[in-house]
Amino acid sequence: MSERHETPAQTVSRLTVLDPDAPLVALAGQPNMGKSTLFNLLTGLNQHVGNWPGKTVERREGHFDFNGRTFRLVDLPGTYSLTANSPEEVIAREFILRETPSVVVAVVSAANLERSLYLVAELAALDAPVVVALNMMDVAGQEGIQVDAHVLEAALGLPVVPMTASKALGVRELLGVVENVLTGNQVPSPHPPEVRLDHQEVLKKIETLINGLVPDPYPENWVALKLLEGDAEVTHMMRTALEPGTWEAVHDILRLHDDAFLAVASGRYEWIGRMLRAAVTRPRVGQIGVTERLDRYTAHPIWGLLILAGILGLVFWLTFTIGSPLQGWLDEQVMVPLAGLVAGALAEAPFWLQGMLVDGLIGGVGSVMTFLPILVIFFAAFALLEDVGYMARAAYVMDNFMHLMGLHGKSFLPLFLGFGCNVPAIMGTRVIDSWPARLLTILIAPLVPCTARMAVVAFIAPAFFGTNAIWISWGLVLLSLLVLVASGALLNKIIFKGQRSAFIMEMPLYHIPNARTIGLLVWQRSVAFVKKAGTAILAISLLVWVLSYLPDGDLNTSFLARFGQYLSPVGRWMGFDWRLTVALITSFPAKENVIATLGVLFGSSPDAGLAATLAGTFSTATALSFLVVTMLFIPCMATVAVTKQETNSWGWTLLSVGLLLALSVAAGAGVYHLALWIGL
Amino acid sequence: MPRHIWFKHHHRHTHHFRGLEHPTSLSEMTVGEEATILAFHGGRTVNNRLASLGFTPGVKVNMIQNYGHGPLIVTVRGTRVALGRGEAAKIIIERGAHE
Repeated sequence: MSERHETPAQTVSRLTVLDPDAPLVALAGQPNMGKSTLFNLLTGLNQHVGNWPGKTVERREGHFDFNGRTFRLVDLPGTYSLTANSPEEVIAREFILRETPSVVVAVVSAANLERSLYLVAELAALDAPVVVALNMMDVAGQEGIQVDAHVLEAALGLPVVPMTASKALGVRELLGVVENVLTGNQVPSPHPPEVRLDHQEVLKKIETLINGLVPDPYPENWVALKLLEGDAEVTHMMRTALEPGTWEAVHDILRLHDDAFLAVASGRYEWIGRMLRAAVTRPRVGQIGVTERLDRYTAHPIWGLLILAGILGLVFWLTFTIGSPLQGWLDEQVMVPLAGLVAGALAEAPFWLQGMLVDGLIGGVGSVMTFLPILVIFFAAFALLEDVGYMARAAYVMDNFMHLMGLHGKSFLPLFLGFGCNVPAIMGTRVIDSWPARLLTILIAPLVPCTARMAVVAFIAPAFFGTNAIWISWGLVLLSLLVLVASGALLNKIIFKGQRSAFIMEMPLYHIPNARTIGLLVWQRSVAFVKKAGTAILAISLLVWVLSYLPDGDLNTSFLARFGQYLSPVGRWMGFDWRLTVALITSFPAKENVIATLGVLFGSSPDAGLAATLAGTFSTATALSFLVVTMLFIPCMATVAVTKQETNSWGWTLLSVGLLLALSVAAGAGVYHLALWIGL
Repeated sequence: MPRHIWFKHHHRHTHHFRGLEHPTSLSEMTVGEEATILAFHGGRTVNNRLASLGFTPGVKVNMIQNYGHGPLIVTVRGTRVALGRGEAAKIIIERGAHE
């Protein structure tokens, strides 16, 4: 957990951009305010998605042109406040304080001003050049809420531009104001909120004590406020910055007033209340909106679960009726001919070069890439459900179930993504706000059966079980999920001492999905997957190929085979011979390699009787055991690579691999002996 | 975090409430009911997150969904918020609206 305790200074580094002189604009806003829609509208494909330095928080940056000038645009993480509750808040405020953007565009919702102005209240205290983008004017209109932008502008002391980003309305006006602020034609001069009356004196005392002792670039009154709020990062910073005696004095005051965060928050809401009284009229009250009507079903403990099951079923159906055939087509019509073409072109080249390119590169990376259509369907379904606002409901109805593992509803979302592929599942754990809960979700995510594993099952199960294969397949999925719940519960008890993280989640209003937002999301996630395939997977594919080639170019006598034979005593516990053990080991670069490896080892292609050969060679008990082990075996290398990236720790990554190794061997041995015992 | 900070607020606000009842927790509210928040004691991070979502002493909340087990949904300051039962149990409320 060490990366959670960096000093604020480490969290933001210099930007790498095309033109360092282009004016820098930052987009700030709470979640569900249409901030991403605005960012996508302004930058289109001129954007780059990466990580904030040293953090696993997504960082989006882009550029756009307006009136012949190029602007750099940085999308700050969506946060409800600027208090250090999670890395996101720290990133947002450090960026504003250290990179000092020329303009900070604060996106608020006209339909929900009371809540969304909270972040503006925080920005005003930072003395940042804020322009308020009063978004979702259309939704506000539908709900009968009228906001007078001019009155709001006067009350806030900040420029306010009404707009509807989803319909691209008001964008030129917004950029015009941004330009005015940049050129000094308009100067934001916010009237920041004050602390509730009963704590103003305490705040003064703290300000006096820390006067002249606050490190750059933090404003003193802001630091005093954050101390009063109990902000962990600022408290840590001031404890180091102050003389022990002075800190003691500050600390004594803070201890006496440890409920002061309420006074600070209340002060902000009083300030917001004054703005609303001036600028907002709301003639219709108490009407039942679409959201409330839909939530009666989607968030219902029984209907909600049925609807969720229906949606999941639909996504799987789409995956297997469109995605899987496409995957097979890519494999047979693109990758196999490509391999043939390359092999032909390199007929004169050294054998090792041909082998490396054909078996290593195309066989390894290529076969992983064929899963892209399946993933695109998953990503699209996910992005659509996310954009409509449904995902919060899915998390809500799954909350009870996730409690079995000491997790809460939000952990369900990445696990669901895992049915497509475990890689985006582990990256998707970023939605979970507590680190222990996120870590636990990362550890159990590889137990979700991904499409690659299901492809192996779909090949082997029919060979041994004929028409019963479908029940065996369902049983294997069920077994995986049972093991997932059991290990989750156990890990929570042992490693996390049964601690449970808080479930606090906004249920956004449902709204009509935006094709551009969904398209860009699918595009970015697909690109991230392809990049992964091009780097980590490429490296390990080549390594595995080298091990299967050396020393004399024959797989049966290669280092990999020797390794398999060396491990065959372990394999025997599960009823495997060395060939099954080797096949299992080659599932590490990509799960579906199992079939290809068996094909090579038995000298028959998957299309020409491999299934029959296998059925003739191994007992039913061995087949069952092999299927169980395939489902639970160590995560594929792409999953291991993202686990390392997201946990930033080899320790947790190795634990994840070790856990699955132990689980799969134990389960395989258990199933094998059980099957023998009942006479299979 | 002292366990009983809500008590201070309770005294401070008592005279503002009509139909004074015993303070109870948010998880005890029934659907359709309205209440005023007195305080919460969920630990620093949880308290701060609740405050940034609009939960402060004196604010009105409406119960939208509560089946007596599992998470629940309330509206606060015009936002629908889902809370785990454990978190809701740590929010102290007074039934009825603030004067």
